[in-house]
Amino acid sequence: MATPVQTPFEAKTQEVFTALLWALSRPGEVQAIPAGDDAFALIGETLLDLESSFYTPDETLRERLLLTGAPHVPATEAEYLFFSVWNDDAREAIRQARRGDALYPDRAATLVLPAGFSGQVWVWRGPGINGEAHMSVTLPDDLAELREEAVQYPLGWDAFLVGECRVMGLPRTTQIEVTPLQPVHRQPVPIQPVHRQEEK
Amino acid sequence: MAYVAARGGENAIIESEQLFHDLNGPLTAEKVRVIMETVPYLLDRVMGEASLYAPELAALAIAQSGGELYEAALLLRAYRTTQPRLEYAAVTEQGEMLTVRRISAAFKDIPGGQVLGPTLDYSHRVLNLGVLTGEGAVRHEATPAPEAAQPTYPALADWQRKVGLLPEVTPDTRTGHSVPDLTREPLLFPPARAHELQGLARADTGGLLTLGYSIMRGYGLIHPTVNEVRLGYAEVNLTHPATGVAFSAGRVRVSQAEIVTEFAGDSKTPELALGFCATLGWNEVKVIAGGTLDMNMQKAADHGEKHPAHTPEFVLYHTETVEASGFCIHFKLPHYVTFQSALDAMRQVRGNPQGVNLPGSEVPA
Amino acid sequence: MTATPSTPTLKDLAHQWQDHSYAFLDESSKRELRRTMLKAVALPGYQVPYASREVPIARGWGTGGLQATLSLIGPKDTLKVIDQGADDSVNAANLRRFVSRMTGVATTTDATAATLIQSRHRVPEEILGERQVLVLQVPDPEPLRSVEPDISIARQMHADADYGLMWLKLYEQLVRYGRIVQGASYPSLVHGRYVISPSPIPRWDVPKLHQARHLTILSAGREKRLYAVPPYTDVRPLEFDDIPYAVEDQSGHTCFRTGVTQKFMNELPQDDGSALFELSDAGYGEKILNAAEGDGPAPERTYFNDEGRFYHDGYLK
Repeated sequence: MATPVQTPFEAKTQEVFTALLWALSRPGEVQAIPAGDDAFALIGETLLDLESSFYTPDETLRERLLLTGAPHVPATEAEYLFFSVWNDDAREAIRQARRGDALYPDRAATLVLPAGFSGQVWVWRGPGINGEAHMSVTLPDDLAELREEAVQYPLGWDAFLVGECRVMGLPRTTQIEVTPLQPVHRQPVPIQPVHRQEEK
Repeated sequence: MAYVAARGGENAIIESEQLFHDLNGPLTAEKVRVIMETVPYLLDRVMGEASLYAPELAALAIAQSGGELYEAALLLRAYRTTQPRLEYAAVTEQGEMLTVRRISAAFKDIPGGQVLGPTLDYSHRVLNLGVLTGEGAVRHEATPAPEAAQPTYPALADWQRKVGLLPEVTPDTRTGHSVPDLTREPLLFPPARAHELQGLARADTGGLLTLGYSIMRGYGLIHPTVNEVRLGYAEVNLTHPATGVAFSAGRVRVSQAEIVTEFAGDSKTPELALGFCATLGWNEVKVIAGGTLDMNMQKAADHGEKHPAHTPEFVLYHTETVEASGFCIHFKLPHYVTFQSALDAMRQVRGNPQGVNLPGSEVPA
Repeated sequence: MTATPSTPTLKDLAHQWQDHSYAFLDESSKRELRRTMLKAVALPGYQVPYASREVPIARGWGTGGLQATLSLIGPKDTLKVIDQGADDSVNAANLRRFVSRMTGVATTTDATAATLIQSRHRVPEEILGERQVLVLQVPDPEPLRSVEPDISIARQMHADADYGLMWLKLYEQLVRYGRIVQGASYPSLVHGRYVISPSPIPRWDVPKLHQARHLTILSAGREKRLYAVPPYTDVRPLEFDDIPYAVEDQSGHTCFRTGVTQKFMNELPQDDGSALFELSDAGYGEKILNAAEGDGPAPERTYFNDEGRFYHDGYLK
């Protein structure tokens, strides 16, 4: 029997998933996702199918993600919410996003949000972080407040912060706060080839 | 030669599999064809438990596993995992099914009539020894009825609802993707009704019989009456995902049972209660036992009682054929790490933490 | 119906024919596992229910771990599979052969060279690194099973963080035997919120999950629950202030193959009534023997040193 090979689509989704897994496992660390395509769409195609649901106000993205078979549903019901553009509608939708319940906190939404990986330095603490991490990131305005409203561990939502072909995880377990330090001399965390053996 | 941790295991397992197949004789297309043509009820049982209707693959699974039915069901289920889901079939109504057998124990005659159909119920269970002593093949030919029987029959429960013996139900109008699917979603408790019926449909026949019989014999809340047992062929009606054209992909053998009990409902207006079970293939034991369990699981809440066979969690988990059989045989796997850990705890209590080999360690009597 | 040339037929919509998909599972099955793993990482120790698919090995033989492995694995990975610590255990050999047949990935017996380790009942002795994933096979994910067999009630207890019965069970052991006699599967609190069964790893291995560099995925295929311990996450075995958690006593045991001490050992009964001991972690043993012959990399730092001291100072009392 010939060894099965990955189709190009399978190769892409496996790579994106690996980035997402390490993003959530190591908050405060940037992961690379394949270049040359819309990162939001790639993440959607990796996570969505007939058995899941999504919401996005972005019509182009919606058309593309509908091809996964996943139904587009109101923001209050969606398992995955994609906001490629940050505005008041996004804020309002996030206020209504699912936070899970005590029996099933996994029924909370996952948000995919736009971000930049420079600017303000934040201190990150929590699972996945060795002590604390200092990371420059430009979060969408008011996101920290929206998150404070939503997260009452174990309830709350998890987020992926996406900029170009990079992604960072912000699970509900992470605490972030602005540091008084300015990002002057700090080296950015190198983008590692995903899921590869550590260099020795 | 360097020391290699992965040494003997791999050869051993390859050879042991070879030996298994060696003792069962060659696996050939002819063998598969003979199985497919000669033991349809065996195929039905395996296909029902595998929840995959594919007679040729079921025959292959039976041949390949040497007739080890738990292995055959697992082979089919594992194959099923690899197949993409392109479309959902339309709902099949009882009254639209091509029915070959349909009997009721509740009434002498029922709307549409009793149809005895193919059955061994009234056979004399006498071995046909002549076949072995050279009398040649035994052929049975049924005599055609003067008039063809009608192809479809209404559900008896519909009549009972019409006359108020059974409570009205609001039909579940969900179709396709919105019907909960046990093979795509985890089973949670209390289970979705669809999950419960799907769980019964793919349960181990022997498991359902054991638990169903425990209820029938003495641990039931209520006395079961077979309202209707039906064997038939259901159309698999699909809509082409690209063209939107409706078509039938073929027919599958199905069996189903309605089980009723009297004196459900409140004491002023007692009514009947209904249990239901259906499965792929013709398997009357399974659907009668399953329907009885379904009725008891529904009624257990009213009675505030909790016998294991009335509890969805107990019934559905423990009759899951692949899980139960797999876990049973997994006890053959080495468990020496857990055993060593427990030994350590035990020796600590005995005041002999290092075990037997240390001089001077005394085991208290 | 007849399809025009431009109309896709059902055959077109089905996947391109290969005997099997890469890593056996189809994309939809992998997505289910992948969504579940992401949820599990975001909720350390919480058991996420998932639709566990049938795979070509029997339930109870590592189907949960295997589904996780098959959903994680890619061509860049190097895989190690162990059962009871051994790479050559028949079940480990079988799982490794299956994944390798379905992916062609490189395999290794070296725990620190693997990117992905699937294990039944052991965590390797060498300290795992930051980009490694350990997949533990889990027979029973519910730590409360022995005190509450009804999973609906157990779920409510997790929701309420009501672990009183668990503490009571340990206390009763203490009263009856003078110590806690839980062997493997020692109940442990993750990130201060959810009590998990760490799977039937010995007590020796539980501390290795605490503030670990690697990611641990625990997957129960038959019971259809998956949970995770992310890197750098607190894992605390339940212990009383005055009765500290104790790992299996390895003092006095020396591996008869390697001479190593203070690692988890297999006890091998001998005809004369004595017993020999050997490293349970076979890959580590192999590395030591080969390095001694100048034939391979030196073993790396282990969680417990030769004196039996755990690498996180002060964690074990």
